[in-house]
Amino acid sequence: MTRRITRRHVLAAMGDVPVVGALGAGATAWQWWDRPPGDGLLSLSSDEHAFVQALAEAWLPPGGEPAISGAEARLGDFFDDVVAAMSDEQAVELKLLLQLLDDLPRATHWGRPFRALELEARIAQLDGWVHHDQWLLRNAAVAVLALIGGGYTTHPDVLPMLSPWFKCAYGR
Amino acid sequence: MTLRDWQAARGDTEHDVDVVIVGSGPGGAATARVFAEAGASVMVLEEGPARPNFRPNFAHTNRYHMQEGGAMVAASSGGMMPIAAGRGVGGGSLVNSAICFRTPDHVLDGWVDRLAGDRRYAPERLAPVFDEIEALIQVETTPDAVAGENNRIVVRGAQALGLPGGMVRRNTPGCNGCGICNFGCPVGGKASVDRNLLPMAMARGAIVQGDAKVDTILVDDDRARGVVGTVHHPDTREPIGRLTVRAAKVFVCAGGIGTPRLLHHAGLAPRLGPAVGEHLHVHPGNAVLGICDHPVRMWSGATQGAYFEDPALPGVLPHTLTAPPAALMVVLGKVGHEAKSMLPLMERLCGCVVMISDKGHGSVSARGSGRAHIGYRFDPSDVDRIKAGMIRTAEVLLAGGASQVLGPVHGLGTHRSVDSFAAAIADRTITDFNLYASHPMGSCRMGADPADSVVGPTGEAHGLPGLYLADSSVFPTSLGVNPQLTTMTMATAIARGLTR
Repeated sequence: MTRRITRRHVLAAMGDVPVVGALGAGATAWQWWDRPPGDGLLSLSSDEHAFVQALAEAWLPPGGEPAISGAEARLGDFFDDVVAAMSDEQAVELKLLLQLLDDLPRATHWGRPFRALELEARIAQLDGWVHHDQWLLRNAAVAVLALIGGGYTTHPDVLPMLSPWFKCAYGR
Repeated sequence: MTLRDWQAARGDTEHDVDVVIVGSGPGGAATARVFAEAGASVMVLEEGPARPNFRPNFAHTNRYHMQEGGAMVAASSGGMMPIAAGRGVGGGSLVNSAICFRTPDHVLDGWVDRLAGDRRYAPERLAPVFDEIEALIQVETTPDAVAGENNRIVVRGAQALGLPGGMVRRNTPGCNGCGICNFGCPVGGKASVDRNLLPMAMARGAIVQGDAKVDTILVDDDRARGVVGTVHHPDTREPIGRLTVRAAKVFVCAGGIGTPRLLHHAGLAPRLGPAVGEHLHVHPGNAVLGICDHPVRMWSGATQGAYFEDPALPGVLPHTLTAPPAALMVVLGKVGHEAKSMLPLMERLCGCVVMISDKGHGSVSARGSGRAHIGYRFDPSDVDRIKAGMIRTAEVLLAGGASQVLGPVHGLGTHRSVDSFAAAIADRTITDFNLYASHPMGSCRMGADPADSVVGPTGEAHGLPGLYLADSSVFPTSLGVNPQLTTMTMATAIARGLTR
């Protein structure tokens, strides 16, 4: 039987990841179903926004070239815009994924969600997700990165690096 | 010329025409032109925006120009893939790569068999229609001026290995080689159907109404009599009015996803038979990237301008790939302090998508909300052919100038030789592949037997006179080549058969 990704898939993915039964994750499971937007946000809750900011910084930390980090590029706000434009059904599914990913580290990091971890710990977590053998978790993390990557690569501080290669877009 | 958006259809409006067409993509546009030029009154209803709203990012394109906001499907056999289907006046031709392959003769010969010997879509009968459509949408071989190094690498590599191929024929008379066709052409260089077939229809009186989503097909006295839908604001989706169009002929041309979704949502599936939404083929594909020691700048050149074939791999069609920087960042898989090193690397990337004619298949129905419910199951042989195609493609890229090859496959790694690449991909399973599909078809297939097809050779639904389908959903089998030219040609043939 074929089916679209559902909450059951997401929870099953959690079960396959070696944090199954973690009290933290289990306790938050029933709070997931559509937290209200945070102050100044269109769709994401404050925690969801903070998670995306933390994820974006872990993916693209400060320093290097371009120097701007994913958090400094305000990819949480970009993502809030993206989710706000989705259908209600898609938005709930995506917010659910954000909350799942945010809660995954609780079992191994003393109950702390992803957004509360130090940068290096977040980088290690994200690297593990992106290369994880469990395809649903891997795809979930990669899907979020692909979306926020669209914001980073069109940020004014990043465009100067990309625009020489483009005739029609990305700063041209 | 009558192109209308939401502002022209406030409140409740009603129309009476000879032909109403749901969907303004390649199938709907071709149908509209034929009937309009034959003197019929025609109205085309398009769910998407009346005018393009292009920006080079996934989120924006999904929002405005992809059906279902970009459908992501979890296959029952494991793995996930997005299935892209275009939306807007022009449909899939707005956001495709403008590739124009004719249907292979062996595929059309197979269709003759499925139609119990009816030859109206046989190679010799469709050839002049292909000629006609190619002239109207200005198909030509991708010129060298917009070829770009990414395409040249594939051509060089194929030639070095003695494989047939070359530059792809595309409908891009004004292409400047900026490589972002899949987000919409920002310079109007792509001859999408909103620039040719639809204006031709409108010049003969056809009305094209954008921002109008059909949800009901009117049936009276066991015959389709028209459609009803909602006009909405393109940004907020706020309902603006209800639109009723009565017509002697009702065409649904909403594509491989949109057509069966509508038929299910409208409650017609039980009447039309068990094949509605079944036998979905999508041409799933993966990709191979090459890292070169010299600049490639894949966005400086036609998006998918070159291809090759391997006679030992029938049903596998590799052609050049251009992916947006955000997607490439993900494929390259770096996180943290190494991640930004991916950005300058992009200048030296080349790429090739590996698409197959799938033996696996899926289904499309409608949820209670009206959104499509899509399922898919891979055939084991499809996985083997994707792997074999990727190995051959890695070989082509290395022969064409890449020094390393990699792909969006979990655990694959980066390789300097095809043997190493082949060894690494050998035991990958379907869930390791980041697959992609953009050619939904066959989901309301044409056939002689009502038990396993939805429409007969004329395009009329077996179970409902007056209802016709003329888009990729009617293809009797998977094509194996990019479908837009076949869609326009077959829709033209269907429509012309009804005007004579």
